Amino acid sequence: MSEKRRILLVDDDVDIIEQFSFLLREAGHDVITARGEEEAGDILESVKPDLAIVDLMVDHLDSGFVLCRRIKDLYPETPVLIVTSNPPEANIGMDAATGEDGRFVHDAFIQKPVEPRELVDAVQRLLSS
Amino acid sequence: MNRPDKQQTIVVIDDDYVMRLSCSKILAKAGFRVETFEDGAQGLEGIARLRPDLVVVDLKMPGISGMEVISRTAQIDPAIIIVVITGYATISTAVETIKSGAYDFLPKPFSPDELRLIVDRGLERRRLLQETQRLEMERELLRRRFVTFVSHQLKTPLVAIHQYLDAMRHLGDVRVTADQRQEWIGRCLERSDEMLAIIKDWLTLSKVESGHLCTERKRIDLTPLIRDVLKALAEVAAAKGVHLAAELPENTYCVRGDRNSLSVLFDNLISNAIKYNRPNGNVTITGQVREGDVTISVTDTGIGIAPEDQQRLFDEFYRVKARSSASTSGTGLGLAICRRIVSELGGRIDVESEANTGSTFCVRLPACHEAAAL
Ligand SMILES: Nc1ncnc2c1ncn2[C@@H]1O[C@H](COP(=O)(O)OP(=O)(O)OP(=O)(O)O)[C@@H](O)[C@H]1O
Ligand SMILES: [Mg+2]
Repeated sequence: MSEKRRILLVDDDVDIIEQFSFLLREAGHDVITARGEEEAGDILESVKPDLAIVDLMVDHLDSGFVLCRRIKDLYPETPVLIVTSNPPEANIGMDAATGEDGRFVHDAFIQKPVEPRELVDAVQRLLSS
Repeated sequence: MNRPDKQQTIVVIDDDYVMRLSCSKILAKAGFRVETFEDGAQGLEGIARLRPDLVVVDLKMPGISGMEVISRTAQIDPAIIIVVITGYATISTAVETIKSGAYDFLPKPFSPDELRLIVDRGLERRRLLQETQRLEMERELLRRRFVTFVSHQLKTPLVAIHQYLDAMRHLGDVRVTADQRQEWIGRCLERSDEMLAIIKDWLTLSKVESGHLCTERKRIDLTPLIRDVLKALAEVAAAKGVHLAAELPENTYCVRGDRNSLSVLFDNLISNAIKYNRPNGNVTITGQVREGDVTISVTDTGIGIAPEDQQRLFDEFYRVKARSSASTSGTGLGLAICRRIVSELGGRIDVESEANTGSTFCVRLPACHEAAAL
C-alpha cells in the first residue's frame, strides 16, 4: 500500500468503533472516529476523508442518510460505505439513498455483523476505485 | 361546520328532471360541485370517474335501481356517503337501503334546508371516517416500525459481541495481544449483560401492559417504600459521589397500589437522578398532598434534558444522544415502564428540566385517605 488513507468511521456503538477501527488500523489505514452525526459534522468541517463508513441508525432513524448526504455535498468524490444491522429494506429512508434528485448518497452497503476480511476488502475496493 | 378547503363533489342521480335541477341548484348554492345523471348506469359511470364525496340517489328509477346503485357504489369506494331520496318512504324500504350501505334517506317532498342538513351530516360522517382511517394507518406504520426498532435494539449488543468473537477467531495471537483479548472478553461480558437487562426491562414492561405487575391495590405509605429504595441505591450514589436526601414524614403520602410496581417506579426515577447527575450533585425527594392527590418529586442537579427531548423521554427505547450522556449505558425502557405503572395506578408523571442545571420528575397519584389497617 502506498500512502495512508484517512477513513471517517461513524457509529453510535463504542464496541463497533473499537472493532472496526482496530481492523482498519491493522490494515494500515488512518481512522478518525465519531459517535454521532453531530460529532461527524464537526470533523468534516476541517477534515476531508478518503472514505466514510456510516452506521445508519446513528442518532435518529434516518440521520445516517442525512449524514451521507452531507458528506457527499461537502466532498463529492469521497466514497460512502453504509453499515447497518438491519436488512436494507427494513431501513426507513433507504429509498432516500439515491435522494430525490437522483444523486447517490452512498456507494456501498454492508450488513453487520461483518467478517473482518469482508470489511477490509470492501474498504479496499472503495478506496482503489 | 368546518368545511375542507377543497371543493367537495356531489353526484345526483334521479330520472326526474325537476328533481335533478332543484337538488343541483340547492347544493351548488351551498358551495358544492354538483354533477347530475338521469339513470343508474350513467350515474355509476360518473361515480367511478368523479369519485364524489357524496351521492344523492333516487330509489325508484327505470333500469338500474337505486338499491343497486348503493351496493355498486360501495364496491367502487366504501367511503362515499350515499343519501337516498324516495317517494314512498316505508320503514321497511328505509331499513333495507341503510342495510345495503346508504347513510340516510330523505322522503319526498323535502325542503332545501332538509337536503342541506342531511348532506352536511353525511359529509361530517365521511370526515370522521377518513380521520379514523388515517389514525389507524398511522398506528399501523408505528407498529411496523416498532418491530424493526425493537429488533434493532436487541441486535445491537449481539452484533458487538459477534464482532469481537470473529476478530479473536480470525486474527492470530500475534495480531491480538493477550491483554487486548482480555479487554475484549470483558466487553463481550458487558454487552451480554446489557442484552439481559433489555430483556428483563422488556418483560417488566409487558407485565405492566398485560396487568400482571400492578396486581394489588393496597394502602401503601410511600415514605418507608422510598426509604428502602434509597437504601438499596446508597452504594451506587456513593460511587458516583451523589448525595441523596429525602424529607418525607411518615403516614402522609399514602396511595393505593402495588408495593412491587411502586418500588420499580421510584427505583427507576432515583436511579436516573443518580445516573444522569454529576460528581457532588444532589438528589432530593419531596412530597406534597393537594386536591386529593399525592405528588412525589425527584429533583436532581444533573445534566438536565433539552426541551425537544423531554416529550420523547417516556417512549420505549428513547435515550438522549447528547455527548454528555453518551457514555452512560441503559436500555431506554426505564421511563417507559414508569409511565405505564403510573397510568395503571390512575396517576400521571411529568418532567420539568433545564439543560445543564437539573431535572425534576413528578409522580402524581390519587391519595388513599383510609386509615392504616391495624
Ligand atoms: N434525571 C435525568 N436527568 C437527565 N436525563 C435523564 C434523566 N432521567 C432520564 N434521562 C434521559 O432519559 C433517557 C431515558 O431514561 P430511561 O430511564 O427510560 O432509560 P435509561 O436510563 O437510558 O435506561 P434504563 O433506565 O432502562 O437502564 C435516558 O437515557 C436519559 O438520557
Ligand atoms: Mg433509567
